[in-house]
Amino acid sequence: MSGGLNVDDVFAPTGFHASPDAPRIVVIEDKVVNVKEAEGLEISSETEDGTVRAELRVLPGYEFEEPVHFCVGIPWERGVQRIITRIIVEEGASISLMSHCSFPRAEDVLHEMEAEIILHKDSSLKVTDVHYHGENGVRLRAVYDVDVGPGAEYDSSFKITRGRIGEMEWISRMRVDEGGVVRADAAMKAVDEDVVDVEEVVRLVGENARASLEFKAAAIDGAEVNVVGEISGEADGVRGHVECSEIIKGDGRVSSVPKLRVSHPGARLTHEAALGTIERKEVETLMARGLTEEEAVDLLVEAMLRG
Amino acid sequence: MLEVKDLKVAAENGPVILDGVSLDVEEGEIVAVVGPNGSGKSTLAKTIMGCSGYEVLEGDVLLDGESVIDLPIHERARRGLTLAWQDPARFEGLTVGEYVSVGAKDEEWAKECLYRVGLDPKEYWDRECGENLSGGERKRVELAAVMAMKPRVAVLDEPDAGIDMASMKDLGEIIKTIKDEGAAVLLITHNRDLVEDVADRAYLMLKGEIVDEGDPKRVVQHCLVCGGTEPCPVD
Ligand SMILES: Nc1ncnc2c1ncn2[C@@H]1O[C@H](COP(=O)(O)OP(=O)(O)OP(=O)(O)O)[C@@H](O)[C@H]1O
Ligand SMILES: [Mg+2]
Repeated sequence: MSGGLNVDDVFAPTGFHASPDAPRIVVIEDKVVNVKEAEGLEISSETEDGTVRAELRVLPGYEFEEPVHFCVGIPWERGVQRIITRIIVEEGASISLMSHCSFPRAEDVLHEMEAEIILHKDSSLKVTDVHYHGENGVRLRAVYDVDVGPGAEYDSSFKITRGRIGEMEWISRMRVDEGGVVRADAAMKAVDEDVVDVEEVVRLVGENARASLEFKAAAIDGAEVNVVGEISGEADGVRGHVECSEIIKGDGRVSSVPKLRVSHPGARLTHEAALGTIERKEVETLMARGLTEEEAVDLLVEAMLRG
Repeated sequence: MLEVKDLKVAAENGPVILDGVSLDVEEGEIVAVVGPNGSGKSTLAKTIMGCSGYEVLEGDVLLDGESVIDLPIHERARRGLTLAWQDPARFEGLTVGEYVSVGAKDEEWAKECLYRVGLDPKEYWDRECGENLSGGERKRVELAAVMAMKPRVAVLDEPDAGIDMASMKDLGEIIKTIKDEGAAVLLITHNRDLVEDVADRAYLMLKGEIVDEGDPKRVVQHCLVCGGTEPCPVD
């Protein structure tokens, strides 16, 4: 806790409810306010020139069933948060990371995240990343570099479906070795002036590596969502799939670019995209059950992003 | 309860579809509207509910004597009016339970309504409303969603379409249940047996006008014999 700040309250909008014993690292603006390690999990951090550097290392063979919490946020109206993080999961280890990103009162907030993720042989990492940017949104720039070693598994799930987003630029580059697996999905609801650019690029460099990318987005009333999902198949037996479903309402705009590159005859990549509008009839049916137009749209978007 | 007065309605940027339609439904009544394809029945239903796509040129819709013609759909719904669509929406991603719950006072009642339309909530509650329900199942879900609201006026647009013959008897019971829960019902249908089974009165619609009104048996005969174009042969 820092200065009477209740960490649980700050992260409540992202569904944060960790037991006090759960391993964690909590970063408020440019300060690491809470670190709890566990056997087999080392966490180190420092702040330099307003930038927080944090490293999480899971030692070989350690498996964490309960999620480890990585909470970052700014509880007040204005601020800048810069985080450079390294996550290393050593051979045979496995960990699930609940990442909560909360800016509940943001008016003028910049959040920058650079992450390097290294998964050694036969390790696994599952990241569930839930964001809440308040009712005004923030400026967010995130760059992920992920190295998935032989037989390792990387699961990433990103979600922002409440409030505004703001201006978001999200780039994730992943490289997958022999027999490694990437599963990444993102669900985003953009409203009003939100502008979202997401780019996820996977290189399947080892034999039999696999990747699936799934994007679901809604752009409502003036918002813009641009998604690029790219997979390149560079070895024998690799499989990849990109799937995008996006809907708009009002003058929202979406674009979806699945890019598939194949440089090995034994690679097989596919994509599916469905772009459309929220059906007027669905909205009106829910209104005939008593919901306002806004409530009806919210329910439909929520169902679509979850489904 | 529900009064439609001299309604003249055109499709948005399109032709006049209803011209001078008047009808009323009293408390506790089930009133049928019959008429050939394209005569304007669904247009009437959607105009009563306030749906988009149509322009009301003249006339009024009253609920308990008060005009609702300028109210948005949800305001009409909150005054007890609702509509079961002829071709219900698909709602990709929404579950049956979520949809039926929208207008229900609680989950228990929503489940009870599913049960009453012949869908076991244990099986259907978590199913998606989208592509994986059959046409007949979607119609039943639609009726459950209407029933769940305990509406005061329910407009049912061809609830029988896509329901198999063996289930038609149930459908009459379902409609009577909606009525017994406190709704006056405006029932749009092509099904003669259903009209004779449940309706207290009937209207015959032809080319956007009401051309006959009265005893359901007689009106249905009239419709079947000549489509309403001749004086009634069964009088
Ligand atoms: N939005 C629209 N634009 C143009 N014409 C329309 C529109 N909606 C309905 N119509 C026309 O109005 C007429 C009445 O249609 P409506 O759907 O009300 O008929 P109905 O009596 O319900 O028919 P059915 O028994 O086939 O359901 C039809 O000729 C139809 O083509
Ligand atoms: Mg019709």
